[in-house]
Amino acid sequence: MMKQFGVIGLGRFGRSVANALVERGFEVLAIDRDERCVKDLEGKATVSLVLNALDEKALRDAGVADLDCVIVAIGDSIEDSIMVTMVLKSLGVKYIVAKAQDDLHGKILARIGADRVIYPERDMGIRLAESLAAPKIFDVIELSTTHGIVETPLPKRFVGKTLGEAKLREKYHVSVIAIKRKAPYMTKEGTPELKEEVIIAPGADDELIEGDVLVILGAYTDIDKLTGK
Amino acid sequence: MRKERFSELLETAEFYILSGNFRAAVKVLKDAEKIQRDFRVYYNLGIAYEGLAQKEDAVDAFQAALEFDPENEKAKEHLRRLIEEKL
Repeated sequence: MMKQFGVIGLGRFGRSVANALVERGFEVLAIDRDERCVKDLEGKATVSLVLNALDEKALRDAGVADLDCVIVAIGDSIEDSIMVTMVLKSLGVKYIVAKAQDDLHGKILARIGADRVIYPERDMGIRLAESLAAPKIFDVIELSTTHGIVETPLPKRFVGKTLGEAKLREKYHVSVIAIKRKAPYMTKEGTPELKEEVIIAPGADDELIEGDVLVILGAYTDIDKLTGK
Repeated sequence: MRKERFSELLETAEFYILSGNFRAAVKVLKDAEKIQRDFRVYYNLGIAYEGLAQKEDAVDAFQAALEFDPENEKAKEHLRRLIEEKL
């Protein structure tokens, strides 16, 4: 059965979560107490409702308790976000995701039963700083504070070697989960052009070519050693 | 004579690009640049740098190419994508 989501609080963050879920084909119940915010989502979300999410009965009547996951995206009031999370918990919502403004707020949300606490502003800020501070790293997906998936250009010393010869797992304890490279081809007009190729789960015999971008899974400290940071 | 040499260098560079030898293409295009600066030199330089994952150099090259042909859609598209990837 198709998953059903609820989004409470339709500010910029809540709206973009609701829109993204709708675009991916899920049913979304969007709730805010401000009619203007709800109007923006009308016709996009499966159901959009103007109601006070602190009102347990109103939430129950709206069918919130039966949803697979509810996202508390209230941004303007820490108190309301905590109260709504408590109400959802007492309604028996299966999975609650709550947006925190700071560490203390996050700790409280986790304590009262949010299954997942997110810090969008802080995480975005850290990611931006990382990409600015380390131009050798193209992109990072953080898995924990110590491990992540990182995209980095192939260090020169490995050019021309096979993945097996590079011994990245033995020496650096990292796994190459994909290799991205730009492959040249000739257009109809007779000019050179590039298309991106992605080799997923490359094998030991795959050769590493100058210009390759490695997608690596590992500890940041090991990845830093590999990239020579 | 210089014109012939220039065309020869460009053709060599395009051959190198198409065979995936981007480093050699950059070297040849740098020689071509000394003879004449035009759209094709910088566009191909952008392609070669992009192939080498030297994104900043690729951005500079495509920007230089657009100075010669500001409306070129392909160069604009490469530049847009590279800048997006860098963010």
